[in-house]
Amino acid sequence: MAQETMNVFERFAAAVSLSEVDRAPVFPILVSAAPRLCGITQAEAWRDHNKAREAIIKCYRDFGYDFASKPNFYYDQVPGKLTGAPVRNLIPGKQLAEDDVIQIDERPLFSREDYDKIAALGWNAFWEEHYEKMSGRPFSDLVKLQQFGTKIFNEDLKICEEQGIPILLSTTVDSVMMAFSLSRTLIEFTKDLRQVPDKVEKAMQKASEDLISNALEMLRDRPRKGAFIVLERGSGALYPLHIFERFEWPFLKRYIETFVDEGITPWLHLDTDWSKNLPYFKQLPKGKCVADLDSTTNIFRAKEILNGHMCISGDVPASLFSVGKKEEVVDYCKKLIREVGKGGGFMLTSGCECPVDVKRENLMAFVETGKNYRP
Amino acid sequence: MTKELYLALADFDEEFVLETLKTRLQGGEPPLSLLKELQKGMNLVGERYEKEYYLSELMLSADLFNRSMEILTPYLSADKGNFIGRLLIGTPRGDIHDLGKNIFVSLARAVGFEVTDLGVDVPIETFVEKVVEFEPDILGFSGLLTPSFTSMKEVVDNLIVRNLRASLKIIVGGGVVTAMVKEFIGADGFTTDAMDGLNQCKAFVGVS
Repeated sequence: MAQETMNVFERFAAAVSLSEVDRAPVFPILVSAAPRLCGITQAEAWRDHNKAREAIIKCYRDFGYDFASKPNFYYDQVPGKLTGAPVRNLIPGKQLAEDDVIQIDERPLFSREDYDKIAALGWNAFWEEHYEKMSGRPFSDLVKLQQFGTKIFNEDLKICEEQGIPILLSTTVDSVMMAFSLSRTLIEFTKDLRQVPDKVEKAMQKASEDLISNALEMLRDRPRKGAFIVLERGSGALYPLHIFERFEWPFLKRYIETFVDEGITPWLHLDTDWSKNLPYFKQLPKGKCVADLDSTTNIFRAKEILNGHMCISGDVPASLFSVGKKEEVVDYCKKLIREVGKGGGFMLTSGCECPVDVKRENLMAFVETGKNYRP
Repeated sequence: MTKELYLALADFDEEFVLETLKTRLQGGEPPLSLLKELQKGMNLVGERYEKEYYLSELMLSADLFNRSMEILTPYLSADKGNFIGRLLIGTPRGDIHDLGKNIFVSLARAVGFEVTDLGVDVPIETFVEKVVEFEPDILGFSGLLTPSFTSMKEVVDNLIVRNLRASLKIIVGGGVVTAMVKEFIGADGFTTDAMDGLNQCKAFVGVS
């Protein structure tokens, strides 16, 4: 084992601020994989949050990475308020088979006519009024569900902290474009952007205020403040830059500047290929946030663009974890540390979530390489 | 000046395309000639995708083509002209993602493939049964979740055991698919891009 001179929090803070580190932080975003690695099903982890938490803790200890991702399968929320779209999740053991992975059943949650209402009411009041019409269930049902999720999230977070398990992710918030795209479906939202752009923009302006304040409210009492911003639907792979400039970037910039002002580290979870958008990130506060790449964006090109300005995390591909050989994992991690880690501002992480069928030896190779390889 | 149907499709002029199709069908125009115009429009979308269009535009054109085909299909006879090949496609069990698959299916139909789309969450045995029944030139797998790779491999292994593998080409597509996944499954091709996948399929059946 190579000598370590920092604890995980010091190392994380140094990587974000582009300062010198003893080694790059190493951790997968690992939630769904934990039950399978511990011999229980996805459905069991959903039914019993204690089992989910214990699986997450066991994986953290067995593999020895720097951070666990979450304390269980649930999310911290402010009851009655949303930090994203209230999508319909298909849950293993309920709508899905016992050991399937949770998936979103994407369908329109509001109509084109509702943009004006959102522009008038904001995100919170709109959903309070619209939720029953959309789901057939009273809004109070959602609030109860959020209360339940938040209660066990906080209880399990406390247990993890007491056992010395550092948890990376607390607050998750959709980017404004992500929240709207998920609420309308990708195809319908794309049509809206072309056919009623002014309505969409006005609704987004109003909704962004609530989405930001909801996230701030959730983080108010957290000892460690990080906001996991889910970005997927605004990338240059999907839309030309003029769409990004109008419908994603202004709101994302506002999110980030507000979070940074509040001492929160924004974690930009960038699914799909953001290569064309990366130069914009140089306008964000230097050394304050993380660009988390999923292996679709060229991470080596990202390093060239963001070097010395923004920490990059990533991007060991899901396919490498699940069907690759141990030696291939080692080689790729070494390459990342050598090239993207050069000069600091890097965290060795999984590209998006570590896949549910990760090979045990590949996950171990990822961690050991991250901890021991010094170029 | 009246817009041409194929151009309207390539420009996503939804109202014009759907209304024009209805009017011209009611006027007795042969459905096959309308299909050819739609196909020409999708070819133009393909050309634009290589230069100026983004994935969102590919998605919109595929959606409009699908809705056009809903209008056109009842007028088409069983013999819809000469197909360039038969393609069987689906997302294996445990995975319900279908956006990329649906775009690909529309593009494949537009260039003249006869496509059987098995949908999502498809059991392994169904793939094998349908290969026997449909006798495709190409079998396409779509998947976004890594466990679907194991299901795909099981289908391929099953086809090998039943001596069905040699007679068809296999391609796998999806956001996290790599050359490594192609090798693991034992496929002939892989792609993360619908248009690139289409070009590979055309090459499989000898169409440039």
